[in-house]
This record gives sequence, structure tokens and C-alpha cells, in this order.
Amino acid sequence: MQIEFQNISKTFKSIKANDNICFSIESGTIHALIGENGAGKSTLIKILSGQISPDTGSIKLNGIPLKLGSSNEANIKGIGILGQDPLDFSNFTVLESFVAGNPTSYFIFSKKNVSKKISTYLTQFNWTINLNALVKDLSIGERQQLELIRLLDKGTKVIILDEPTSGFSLEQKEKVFETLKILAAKGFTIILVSHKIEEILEICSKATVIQKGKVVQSIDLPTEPNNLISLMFGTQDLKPTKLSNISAPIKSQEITVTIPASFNSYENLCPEVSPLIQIPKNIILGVSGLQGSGADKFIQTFQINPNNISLEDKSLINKFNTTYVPSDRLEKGLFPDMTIREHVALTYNKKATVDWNEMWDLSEALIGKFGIVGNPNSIAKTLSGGNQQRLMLSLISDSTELLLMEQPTRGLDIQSANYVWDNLISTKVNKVLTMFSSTDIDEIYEYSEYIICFFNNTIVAHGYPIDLTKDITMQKISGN
Amino acid sequence: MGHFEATIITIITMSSPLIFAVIGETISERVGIVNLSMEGTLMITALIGFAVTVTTNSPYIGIIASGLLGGGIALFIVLINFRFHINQIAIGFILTILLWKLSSYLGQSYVRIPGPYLDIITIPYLSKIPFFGPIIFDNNILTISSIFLIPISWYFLFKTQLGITLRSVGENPESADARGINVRKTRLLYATLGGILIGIGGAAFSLHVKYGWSESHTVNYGWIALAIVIFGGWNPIRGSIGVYGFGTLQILALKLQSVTIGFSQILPLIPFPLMILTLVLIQIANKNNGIGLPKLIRILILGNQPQSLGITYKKNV
Amino acid sequence: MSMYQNIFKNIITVLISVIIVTIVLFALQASPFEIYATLFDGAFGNLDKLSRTMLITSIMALTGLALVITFSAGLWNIGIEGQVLFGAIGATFIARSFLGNLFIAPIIAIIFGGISGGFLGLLSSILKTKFNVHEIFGGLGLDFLASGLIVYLVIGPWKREGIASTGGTDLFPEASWVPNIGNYNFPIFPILIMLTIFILLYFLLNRTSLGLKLIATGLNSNATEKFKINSSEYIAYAFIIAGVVGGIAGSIQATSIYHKLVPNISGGYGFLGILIALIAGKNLSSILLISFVFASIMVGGVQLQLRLGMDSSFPYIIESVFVLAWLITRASNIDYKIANYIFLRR
Repeated sequence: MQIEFQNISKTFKSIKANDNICFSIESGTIHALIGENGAGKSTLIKILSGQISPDTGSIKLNGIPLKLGSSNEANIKGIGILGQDPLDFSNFTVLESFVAGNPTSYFIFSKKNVSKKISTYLTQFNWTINLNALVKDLSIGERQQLELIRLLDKGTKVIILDEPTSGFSLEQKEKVFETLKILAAKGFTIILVSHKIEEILEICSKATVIQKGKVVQSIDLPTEPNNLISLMFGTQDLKPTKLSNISAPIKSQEITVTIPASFNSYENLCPEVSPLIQIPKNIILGVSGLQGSGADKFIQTFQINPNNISLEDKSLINKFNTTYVPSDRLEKGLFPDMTIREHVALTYNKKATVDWNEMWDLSEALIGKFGIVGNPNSIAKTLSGGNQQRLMLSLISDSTELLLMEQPTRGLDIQSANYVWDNLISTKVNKVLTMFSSTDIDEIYEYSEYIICFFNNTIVAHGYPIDLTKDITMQKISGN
Repeated sequence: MGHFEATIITIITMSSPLIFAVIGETISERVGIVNLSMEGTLMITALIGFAVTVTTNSPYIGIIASGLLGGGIALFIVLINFRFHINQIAIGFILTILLWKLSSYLGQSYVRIPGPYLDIITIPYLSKIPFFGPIIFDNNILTISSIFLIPISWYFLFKTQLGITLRSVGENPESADARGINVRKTRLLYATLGGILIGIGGAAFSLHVKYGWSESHTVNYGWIALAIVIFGGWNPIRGSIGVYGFGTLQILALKLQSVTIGFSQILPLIPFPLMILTLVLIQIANKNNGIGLPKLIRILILGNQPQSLGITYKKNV
Repeated sequence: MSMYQNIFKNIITVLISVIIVTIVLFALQASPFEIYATLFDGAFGNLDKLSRTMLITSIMALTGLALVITFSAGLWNIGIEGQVLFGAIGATFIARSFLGNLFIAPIIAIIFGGISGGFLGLLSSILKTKFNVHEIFGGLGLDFLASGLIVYLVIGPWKREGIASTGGTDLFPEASWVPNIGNYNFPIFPILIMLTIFILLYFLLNRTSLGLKLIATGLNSNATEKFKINSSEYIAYAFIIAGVVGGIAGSIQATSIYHKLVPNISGGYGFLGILIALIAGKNLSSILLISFVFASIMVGGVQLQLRLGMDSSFPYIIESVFVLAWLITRASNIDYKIANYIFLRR
């Protein structure tokens, strides 16, 4: 089925998620949709699958306009999504989960029939899944394979794969890719949303790159990997900074970071990466990686296990002097219904009682210092993203030794982003270590004094910026 | 007929109200709705069943009335929950008190008056089958129905397409929604069905187990039913075993009454520690995925709480 | 909304709820205004009755306050009945012991009752945090356990000499009775206890770090981890505090009203407390007023039986319909709209 996007635009509050998107996908092809987190891919996918409706624009399937904004309609027209979270039923058996919502027969649920049907697909694709198991006992890869079969059985003609392969083992991935090629040859249209250059080059015939809501370019594949990489990262406006973080690197080794084993072994792909990283104190450490690469997870492990960071002078990093600032601000970092003053009290009040007047004064001081637009009674969820981040920064107490920041400038306007970095740079000397993760390579290279690269949940490289250049990093985080 | 057989018949007959109540609530909870008003619903449906029977002189109309009332109460809970986003538990709890006391008041004129009750239906040849015959085929319609309800409801829940749809809504409404299942309609439908069954259970109390009506008629049975649903792992067959087990203990208590007066007092309380024990064991078993427990116990215990039980599902726009 | 608008909105909600209750009473073929008048007289008609009303107010307020604490932590403490019962058991234990004859026996009894209630609350907490047993089912189970324990004690170890009946234990020694004041039995001590607990809990929720973290836990957010709040810890605190307060209510029942241990000594005030707390939500202050109203209805209800020959179930019917009507009115925002309309027109 041929898909044509015509002038699709969608604005959320003040952000243009999709800006006049126009391109087409040919029938019987595997088409890649590439772009950074926040570029607008998920919005476009949600519009195609009917979960949300665009402000303007239309989508044509084989020339016929698709009724937008209805997931039912999309279902009927044969559009299906397979995401990272297979929407199945963990407590059901494989067979039950398969038929839920997808009746194979009118009344009676015949295990034999369903079994046979799934087995046919399994043989056809050369996959193996234990049909007698409970869904929750399967690996994520197997669950996604099952979902794929279910979509095919339902008559899906357009399959959208949203970052699907992070759960697959190498073997599973190869088999799935074979299947995708077979399906494409049969006339199915497959859209692959992914960051993994290797995979994109392996099976896709065309790629559309989206940045900041706009289509940058559609390019035929295969092509030189570097072409694709530079398209992906593009040239971005250099953000004006007030404080530069580039200084002569002093290579000392006062801190030892022990990498948890889970990040250091993936079928022995990177045996040359040592399990210990040694770096100077008081620096900013950047963890670079594409969305879902494991960079964020890496940062989170230090909140749980701060003693993976040890110091030469044997001083202690523990839960109490570690501050973690998650990227999902309202979901994980703040209490949406609480006021600024209450957050301040939760962070700074060390006594058994709370003196609310004192907290008011403290809140006002922090509001002033961090430029938050609001007053101590402002409720967190009413603050803008930039102000929420400023609030989070203000809640980093002075006794913090280890600061963990996930995607510190995600979704922020330039002014707020600059403010965040000014703050982080000026306070880095008060802390043993400031660690941040970012999907933005420019941001990594602008502020990091040491860099760790992530791909597919594994550390693939690390070093000082002078040694580990931007080009190498771009390649590494794309899986080369 | 031997003494033993007679006892079995008594147990099964006496347990029929709870069978309806437990299976009804099992279905409701499987779709994710907790009907906490059961205690009150059983009382008022028992009353209405009896009252309508006395007025119309037909126990069958009485049963229908009870069923409709039970369904109506469940429907009320679900609608208020959907429309106003008031917690199911809050509404259920308020209704427990309201319906209980309402039945006290309305039942005043019906206390201890005799009324028509369910006849025994005897099916000619089948009732002569040794052992099973008299139980199943020589009994009143509600008891007979309750016996057949067990395998039917089990089959429905676990072997039919509709049953899978129902359970999927209770397990993971988000996934069910993504698959095109109408979560709201499904919940409305099956919670109401559960309510109807509970209502019939109420009728069964006043129309054959304890003829007539009095205030403490069905006291605590609602709470007991809730406990047995959990003890039964949300499975009609296991739930029924729990009901019959409880019935057996009741008979024992009656027989031992002359020996210890305490037992009959303690009896209604037994399902609750068992319920807690079941929940604890489920938790422990689930942690290790059943590894380390003897296989027999695993089959007996493993049962999973419908994940979305009691949580208001808000569809993302 | 300004404070005045808020009060106005509350008044409207009350009015609408009363209208609904009145309609229901009509439907039940009872005459509402006669009922209201009788209730009023039954609750406030003379000083004796007023004393009684104040006594029941203090007990209901205690359970209500306990439930606000658990609501604030995001919990459904259906186990409150059991906590009240355990409080009564604890107080009985002291009363029957050698301590029961001391001058300060009531104080010890009430304190120990509180501790007993707190113990049961702790059990609810452990069931929830360690074994994932939902507090509703765990609470129900513990309620029945407490009930059963009382029955066992009353017909077993604590039975009256020569008689094993469920009528209750022997009366407590007089020293263990909580004294009332004056000719009209004014329950000065229960009221003082209620006020003290209210002040303490108010202080706890609004001015302590523990209270703030407890409230944060009740917001069911993922941020508790980031702020280094251990939810299990604060759930335990909430249950224990609620259990203690509930236990105190139970011990007052035992030492001030019944002066012995009987089955169902809680008088259902645990469950009625839930009705009150459903209206109050997370707001401690409203508990006092609502308890007063509900207690008047309960005490006035006795008059309904005596004078009008009405069934004893009416107070409960009135209260439960009222709560239901209140919740629906609030949720439908009608009260807000009406209050706004009236306010803006002025």
C-alpha cells in the first residue's frame, strides 16, 4: 500500500511537533523514519495510526484519503504498530494473548486451531516460540514476534515498527529481518523507526530524516553510512553560551567509576573497553547515546548504587549526597500537585518540624536566584518546562557530591537551556562529579570534560574529548 | 438415603446462595470491577426476592426481581464510577451500609412471616442415579442451577472467546483498548451480569435456605463471599470449592453446637485468614514464579489478581 | 476561589444533599420534617442528650481523624473497625489487671488501647508493603479477626464467673471507668481527648516533616524515590498512627460507655468513620463538624425509635444517602457552578 503524507502539521501548546510534512512511502518497501528524540517522528506515527489527529494535512493510502484521528479506522484500513512495549497480556498464555480482541472463531476458543495458525507463521518465518508458555515468561523479543504475527494475521498491510529491535537477540533480529524482507516482497509496506544505522542500511530501501518537525530529506538506500550520519545529526545552530567549558584537560585519576556488568557485556562486542573508568574530580562527564541506547539507564544505576563511584581519597558517595534529576520532570522528578514551597521543604528541611515561614523565605530566595517564573505557592504542574527544570536545579542541595542529570535540556527553549548549563558549569567545582546524558552530540561536545559512548545498552567507547573526537563518537553511537 | 448422603445434599443446597454470589463477583472482578456493596446487595435482594414472592405468590417472579435489583445495583456503581470518577470502593462501601439498613427498614413488615418457597423439582429417571441423582435432579431450581453454573461459568471464562475478551479488560485495559475492545462497555456488561448473579444468590437465601426474612438473615455473607472470591483465585471452580468447604464447616458447627457454643461464632471468620493467607502465598509464589513449591500446591495457589482491579481506567485522549 | 466562595460552595453542597435525603425519605413514606425535628430534639433536647451527643461526637471524630491520616497517605483503611476493637481489647486487658484498680487506670487503659490499635494498624501495613495484600482485603480480614478475638475472649478466658455467654465480660472495676462531669454526665474527658488528638494530628500533618512526607507518599507519584522518601516507611507510619487513634476510640467505648468488653463493641463507629472521612477527604478540620452532625443524627435516632416508633435504621439511611449525594454533587461540579453563578451575579 502506498502512503502519501501531505502537509501534515501538528502543534502541541507552543511546539510545532510536525511542520508541513510531505513525503511518500512506496508499496512493498521498508522505509526508515529517522530523527532525534523530539524531532516529531512519534507524532507522525501517532497520526498515521489514528491515535491523534493533525491540525492540517492529509494522508492518502493508495490515493484514497484516510480518515484521520480514529484508531479504529486505521485498524480497519490495515495499519498496525509494533512498539517497544508490546501491548499484550502478561498473565495470559501465549494463545490467549493472541486471540484477545482478535477472535479466531466466534464463540469457542480452540487451542488447537490457534496453535496451528501461529505455528504456520513460525515455520514460515523460521522462528521458535514456546506456545505453551505464559506471556510473561517470554523474552521481549519473543513477545514482539508474537505481536507481529498477530498483526499479520489480522490483515495488517502497513506495519510500523517503532524502535523494535532493542529487545531482540542477534539471532532473533536476523530472523525478523529476513521476515521483513519477505513481507516487503509480498507487497506489505513497512515503516521502520530507528536510530540504528547498521540495521537501516541492512534492510531499508529508503529513509526520511525528520528534524524539528520538518522533513530534512528523503534519501535512497543503500548509501554511504557517513551520508546518513551527517543527515541524522545535521548542522545545528551553535547555541550561544556565556561560559565556555573548554579548558585544557588535566588528566588525573582521582575518581574510579566501576561500570556495572550489565553495561559491559553484550556478546563480547566490546572486550577492549575496560570495566573501570578513571577520571579527575570536579568535572562534567557526558554520556552520549541515542534514545534508548542505555545512556539514561546508566545514569539511573548510580542513583541506586552510588558506591560504584569510588574516590582515591576514600571519601564516601552515598544515597544522601547523590542527587538525581530525571528527564521526565513531572512524572518522576516533581510532585505535580505540590507547590514550590512544599518541594523546597521536602528537600531542604532537615528538622522534624517544618517552619513554613522559613520555607517561604527560602523559596523566594531560590525563585529569585534561579529565575523561576512563579511564587512559592505555584503548583509544579502549572510551571512551564523551563521553569520546572529551573525548579529542579534549585532543589539540588549544596551538599550534593554526585549530580546525575538525565537529558538536562530536553524540550527547553534556548534561554532556559543556557541557564541550565551556566548553573552546571559554575557549580561543578563544588561537586565530586557531575554526570549528564544527552542525545544531542553538540551538547555533549560543548560541555563534557570526559565522554562515555553508548550503543545498544553497552559502553562502546570512552575518553577525553581530545582523544575521542566528535566524528568517532557519531559513528560509535550509531553502532559502527 | 444414608445419613452421609443427606448431609451432602444439605451442604450443597445450603451453599447455593454463596455459589451465585461468589461466581457473580468473580466475573465482575475478572473484568476489573470490585462490587464492595455485596453485603448490602445480598441483604436487599434477599428481602426483595421474598417480598415479591409473597406479593405475587410466585417464587420465580421473586427470583427475577432479585436478579434485576442486583444487576441494577452493580450498574449503578459502574455508571457513577464512569461518569463522576468516584472510586468504586467508596460507592460500594456507602451502598453496603445504605442497602443493609434499607433492607432492615423495608423488611419490617416481612419479618418472620411465612411465604411460598421454591418447590423441589424431581426429574424422573435421573433422580434415581445413586449419589448424584438426588443432589442434582431432585432439588429446587436454584440449587440445580447453581451446580450447573459452576462448570458453565468456568468454561465461559476460560474456554470461550468472550471470556478471553472479558479477562483481557481486567488484565490490561490499555492493551485491550489498543486491540479495539470497548473497555467501558465490557465492564458495564459483565459487572451487571455479576450483579444479577449476586441478586439471584440473595433470592436463594430467602427462598430456600432460610425461608422468609429477618434482619440478620444474611449477615456477613457478603463479606465472606468477597473473601472466597479471592481465596478461589478468581476461578469459579476453586471458588466453589471454597464455598462448599465453608458450607461443610457450617454443618459441622451446627452439629457441634451442643458441645461448644464458640465454634459457630468463630465460623464466619474462618474465610478471612484463609483469604489473607492465599494472597500472601500468591505473592510469594509469584516472586519465584512458582519455583520451589511442590507442584500440587502451585496449581492450587497460583492465581493472579486481575491487574486492573479497582483502578479507574481513564482513556487517554 | 476565595474563602467565602468556598464556604458558599460547601453550603450549596450541603443544601443539595439535604434535598436529596429529603426526597429519599419521602420515597420511603417517612415524613422528613417530622424526622428532622425529632432528631434535633433527640440530640439536643436536654443536657443529658447533649452530653450523649458530645460523647458520640468524640468517638466518631477520632475514627474520622484516623481515617484522614490514612487517606492522606493514599490508603483505604478499612481495617479501622478492627483497630477500634483492638483498642477496646487493650483497655479491657488493663482494666481487668491489677492496674485496673489504680486511680489512673483509665489513662493507662486508654494508652494501652491506643497501642493495641496501633499494633493492628502495623499488621495492615506489613500485609500491604511486604506481601502486597491490598489494604482493603487485609483490613477486612483483620476486622473479622478482631471480632473473633473478642468473641473468644468473652466466652473463654475472660468470661463471667459461671456463665459463658456472649453478653460480655464482667464490669470493669469502678476505678477504670472514665468519669463524667456533673449531673448530666458531660463527657469532658473524651472531648478533651478528641481535641488533643485533633491538635496533635493537625500539627503532624501540617507542620512536621513526617506529615509532609506522608502526604507526598499519598500523591502516588514516582518522585518519592528521587526525594528519598521510602513509601513503605510512611505507609507504616500512617497505619500505625491511624491504628493508635482508632484504638483510643475503642478504649473510650470500653471505659466510658460500656464499662466492659462486649462483641461489636465498636458500635460500627469505625465504618461510620469511613463515611465521615469520605466527605472530609484529606481535610482534618472538617472532621469535627461532620462528626458532630453525624453523631447528632445517631443519638437523635434513638428518639426516632422511641417517639415515632421508627426503625433504628433511619439514621444510617440518612447518613449514607447524604454522603452519596455529597460525593456526586461534588463530582458533578454543580455546587461550584451554582456558587460561581450566584457570586458573580452579586
